[in-house]
Amino acid sequence: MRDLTVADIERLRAEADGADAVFEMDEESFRALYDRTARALWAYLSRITGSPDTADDLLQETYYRFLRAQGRHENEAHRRNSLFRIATNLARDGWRHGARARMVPLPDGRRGELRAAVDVAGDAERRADLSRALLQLSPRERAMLWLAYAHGSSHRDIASTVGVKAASIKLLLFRARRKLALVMRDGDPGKAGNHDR
Amino acid sequence: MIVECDREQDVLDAIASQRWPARCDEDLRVHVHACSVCADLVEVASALVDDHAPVCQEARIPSSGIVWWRAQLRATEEDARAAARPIAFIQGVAVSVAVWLLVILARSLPAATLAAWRGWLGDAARLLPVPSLAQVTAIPTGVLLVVGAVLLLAPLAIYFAVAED
Repeated sequence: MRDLTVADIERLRAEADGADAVFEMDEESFRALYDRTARALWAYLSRITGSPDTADDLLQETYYRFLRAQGRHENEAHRRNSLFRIATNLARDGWRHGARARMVPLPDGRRGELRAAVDVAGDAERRADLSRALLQLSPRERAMLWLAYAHGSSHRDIASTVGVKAASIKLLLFRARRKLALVMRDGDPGKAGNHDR
Repeated sequence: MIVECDREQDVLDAIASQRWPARCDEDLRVHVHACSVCADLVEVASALVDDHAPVCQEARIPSSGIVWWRAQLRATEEDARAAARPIAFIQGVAVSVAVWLLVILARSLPAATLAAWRGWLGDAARLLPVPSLAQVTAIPTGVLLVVGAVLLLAPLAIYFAVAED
């Protein structure tokens, strides 16, 4: 979105006074919802795209599409799910249309350092390692894991957000978790499925 | 392949409540040590739970007011563009119809009237650097048909050009 100018704001004020509401949701409700959800949504976008810059762009696009959708939401949870679903679709589209180039995969030479780093480094380094490890997963796997463990979503909500059948979530989540655990330990997602104690 | 464990929820509760590993039951620690499903869960869930709050703190989010105004501005512009598309189409159709009516009218007028108009237009044309009516009426019918077709298709072209925006 382009930056607002003072003239834009004045024009909008004038239009808002005389025109019908552009969105179904009023400003006060939107601002309350935004203040409750924006940080968590940005964190989600940042982690599933692997790029804070992309998260910046997609955050505003997500809220815009949410407002334009004019959907009837029964409650706060429904609104949140709707936001995360839109964000997931936008991130997926970005991924398809070349945003992947911006997501830097873990270089081979760094993989061996992961295990040691997890053991000895401080919070910042552990988080950087997690960030790099997440980039070894597919966007859908990242989304599922973040929603399940960082965001605390139910399996049904995760299924709805990432667009898979609820019955498949348990297995998909297991595989994604296994893959991330292996990357964090060994730096090799290819071993997933061969480690069953 | 075992994909789930009955104690997964216990492990998640311990992590979420920050009881893992020091303040949780000894038997849960023993279980996690022996269970690959729960071991993976601890590794992944702990990392993601620990990451969540700092990432949220780092979030670079614009104020809700700015996001609202930007969305409203964009929606207003999009609505205006959408509303302008059919208007542009109808205007194009109207112009084309008007031109065709003029052509039909001109061809159906009596020869004497046309001759009088030609004389008047001829006088006017001598004052302007434009082709005379005689030259225009001398254009072959095929060329006139092509011009007519262009006039007819122009509104469609305008419509699709605007629609692509």
